[in-house]
Amino acid sequence: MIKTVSLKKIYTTDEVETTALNNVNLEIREGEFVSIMGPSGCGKSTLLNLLGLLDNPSEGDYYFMDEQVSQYSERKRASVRKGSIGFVFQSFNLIDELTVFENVELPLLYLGVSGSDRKKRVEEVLEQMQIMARRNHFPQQLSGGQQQRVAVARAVVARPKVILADEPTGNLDSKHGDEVMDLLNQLNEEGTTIIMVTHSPSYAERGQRVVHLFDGHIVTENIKDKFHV
Amino acid sequence: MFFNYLKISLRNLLKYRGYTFINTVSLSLGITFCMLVFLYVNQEMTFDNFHTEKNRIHSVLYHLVVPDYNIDSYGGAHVPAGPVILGNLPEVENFVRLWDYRDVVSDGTNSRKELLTFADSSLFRIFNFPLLYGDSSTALNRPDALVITEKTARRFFGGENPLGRTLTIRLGREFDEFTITAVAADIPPNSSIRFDFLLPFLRIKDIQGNEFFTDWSYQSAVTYLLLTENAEPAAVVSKFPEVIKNYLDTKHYQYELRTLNQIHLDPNCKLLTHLSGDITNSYILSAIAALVLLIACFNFINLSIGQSVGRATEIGVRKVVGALRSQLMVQFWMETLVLSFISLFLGIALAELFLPTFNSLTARELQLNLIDNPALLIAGLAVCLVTGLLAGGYPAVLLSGFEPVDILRNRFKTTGVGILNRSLVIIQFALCVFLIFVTVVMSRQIDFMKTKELGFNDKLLLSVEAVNVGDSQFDKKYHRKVIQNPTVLSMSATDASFTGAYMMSVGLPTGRPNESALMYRVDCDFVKTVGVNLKAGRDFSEVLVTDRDRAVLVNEKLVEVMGWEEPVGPQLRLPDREEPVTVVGVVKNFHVQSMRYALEPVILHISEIYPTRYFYVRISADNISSTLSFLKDTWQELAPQLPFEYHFVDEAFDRNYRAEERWHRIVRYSSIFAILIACLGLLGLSALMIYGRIKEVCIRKIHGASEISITSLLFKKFVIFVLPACVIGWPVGYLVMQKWLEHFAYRINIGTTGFIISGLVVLVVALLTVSYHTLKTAHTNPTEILRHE
Repeated sequence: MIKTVSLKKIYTTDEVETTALNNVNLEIREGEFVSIMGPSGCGKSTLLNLLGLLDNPSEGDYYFMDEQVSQYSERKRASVRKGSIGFVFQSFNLIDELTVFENVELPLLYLGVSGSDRKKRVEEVLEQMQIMARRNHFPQQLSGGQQQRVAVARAVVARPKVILADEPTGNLDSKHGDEVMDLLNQLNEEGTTIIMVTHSPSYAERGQRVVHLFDGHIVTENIKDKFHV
Repeated sequence: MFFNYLKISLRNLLKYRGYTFINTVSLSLGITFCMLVFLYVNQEMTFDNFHTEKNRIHSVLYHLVVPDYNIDSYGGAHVPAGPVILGNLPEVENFVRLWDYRDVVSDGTNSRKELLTFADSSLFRIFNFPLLYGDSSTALNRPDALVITEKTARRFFGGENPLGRTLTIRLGREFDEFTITAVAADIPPNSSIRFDFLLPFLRIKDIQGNEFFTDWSYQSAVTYLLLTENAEPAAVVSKFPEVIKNYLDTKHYQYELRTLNQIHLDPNCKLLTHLSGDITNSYILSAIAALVLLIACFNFINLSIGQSVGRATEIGVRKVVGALRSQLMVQFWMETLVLSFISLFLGIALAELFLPTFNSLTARELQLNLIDNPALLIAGLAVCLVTGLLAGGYPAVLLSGFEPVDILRNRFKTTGVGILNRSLVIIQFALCVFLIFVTVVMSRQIDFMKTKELGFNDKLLLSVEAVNVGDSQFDKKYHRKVIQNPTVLSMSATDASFTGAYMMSVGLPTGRPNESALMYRVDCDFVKTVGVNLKAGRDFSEVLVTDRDRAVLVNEKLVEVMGWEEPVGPQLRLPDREEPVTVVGVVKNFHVQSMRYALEPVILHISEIYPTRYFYVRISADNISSTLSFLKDTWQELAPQLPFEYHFVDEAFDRNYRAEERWHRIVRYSSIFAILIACLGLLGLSALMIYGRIKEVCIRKIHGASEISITSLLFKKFVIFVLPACVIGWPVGYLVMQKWLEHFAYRINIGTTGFIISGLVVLVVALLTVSYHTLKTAHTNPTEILRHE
């Protein structure tokens, strides 16, 4: 489903060149749950951004669903993104001016889903995430855990093939962190591919595979027996 | 999607209340100004449009073509031309002639000089002036017919139906009774034909005699033709020479037609009975309105960009979940449009509030009625749409261009206030500097004109209009009685007024073309009464009989133009005399017109064949009111039927500058508007700028910076806006004012006052505006801020 070949990302700012990723070769199959770990600044988020088509690599190839997407324009990337990829962030990134319902509805709006379908699908996913009662609340009126559940709901509402989660539990206490991880596991079991960046070894263990990054390189890949092809 | 946009727009506007307030107020002030100017311009552009046959009504104009002279357009046409053209050209369906004259109207108790309009009875068939009472087909048929307007009817008869009532009107020497045959609805403000009293055209014979209607030397009848449905004006004009060749030399007289609704704004077409406009005024007002709106738009752009930091997450998230750039742009535009529509409604309310002031500034009676005037609503919506799109354009393009990955990586670098913001603030303040500069220079020029030595003593000098023109017995009796009063120091009779009425121009034999002098017929006491200073020779003498006819006084300017070395003694030829006259004295130059015009050569001549039109009375400063009552009582004792109309000469001179004062007030108000809007913008921007530096301020404070040093540090940031603003505003203001001053023969040097005042005002206003946020920040407790870092 996802394949990178010699992926490289260089950031250039004021004559300083930083190589964030170097020669990254990674293959992820449909239905996999992959955790990415590594120290701060090792390139985890950069990798996630490239995989999520938020950015283009400086060099190398990226195949998403067998399509070479590494040099797509922002417009093309956006169109691939909106139907196929869902995002969950550490800082939730909910829009403060929109209610829970409206935040979750957002991807469907941009997909052009009709009003009645939108309502049905948003309500379904809110039920699934157990936040239906909060549908008319604004993000500031929710706890961190509830906010992240809304973010997950938003990520899955468009039924993407893959969910990219960038430290989804980073801002949560352990109880709420566990709840979010349960949700991700549940989604994975239902067939959604999940790629998650995390600092927590125990949460990383919840995936079938842990990719360790260091200074922009993949240093190890632990494949767990949980994953059967 | 649309409702989602609308919803989030409204929520964002509520969330950032402060900025919404600033944006709405400044945009609505801009829209208010534009609406008022639109009302003015719209009225100017739609003059005379209410006449159903406006496209078939044409005014007859003629040019007099004489070698060595430019072609001039005259204010009327030959009196007999209308009937002759109608009789000879089948394309002409009808004609009407108008002729204005001022004389006394009396209802038995009160009498006043009024403007009388004489018109052919076809007037109501050609133009749409609806009648409230009376029959338009017969209204002007009777020789004693009188049509008055609703307003005039109310003045004389209160609310009663005045049909059949009478008013006494003097035409020439005799009073005659006129019967009211119709009452016309008040003339719409956008009519260039205006009247209060309408009389049958044929009654001009009482003033000018019967030859007026047949003699082609009378050229003052404003004549309109109603052409048949399909007639081509150009084809009709081409037939004129054939028609008029029996009466006029067609080599010298060229006729042309001008369609009714083109006359008002045509600078070459100043019809005597027509209220003419000036397209320049519309241009100037539109330019000012555009500037004010531009300043408001700049505020919007500035504050939106400033706020963009707060919107970064939203934009990033929307992009991540699949929003296209175009969709985000539409969303931002939606927000601006919502705001500009709110501003539109507020702007309409404010326009209603400011309308009386605007009317007094522009001397108009404009009305704000959106239902009757859909053009205004359409224009309002158009302004709103354009403003929304323009003001929202830059933020829409800028904000929608953020890369989501930059936002998510916190690489999203914008201080909120960049070069563009600073440039826009500078431009705003440059416009303010410009407007203040213009205000200062205008006010100095007006002051200069009002206080400049006129060359005669205009204080305590009365000008009394001799309404009994031609009755020399009355003049003499009045003079004799008045002069006996000790508070009347001196009195003189003239045939023309100082402010220009009835002034006659005579050619001077200098050998150069277009060299002429103004001629006043005066009496022996003129120099003494008016306070003109004698420079050489002597004044007119009461005892010398030759002075009564054969002597003249001239001014220095005439001596200079004629190049006389010995100014006393030369002889001049006057157009109305066989024998030459001798210059017996030279008076110092004195101004008889506004300072717009250069001094002209003047000839003072005693001639009893010309009727007295004005008495000039020099009174003492004691008991002015009792002197005025005395002058009035004496007048009414001798001529109880005639009104006593007077004015002080100094006040009349001040009235010369009404147009300049009006423009001065308009620019002054515009400057206040502009500064207000610019300050609102600066207030918002200073909050954003200072907010962006709050961490720096705190770190400085921790390291020992005093509040004073912090305040001055922040102030400096804003002071640097003022200097470039001046550098831009000053030269533009200087050039514009230099051009404006060229209209005045007597003008000030621009000097330094305008530069200093405009710079200082903008500096002080800018500092006062930013001081709120600056002082607040300087007083901040650093731990409060750094705790959150």
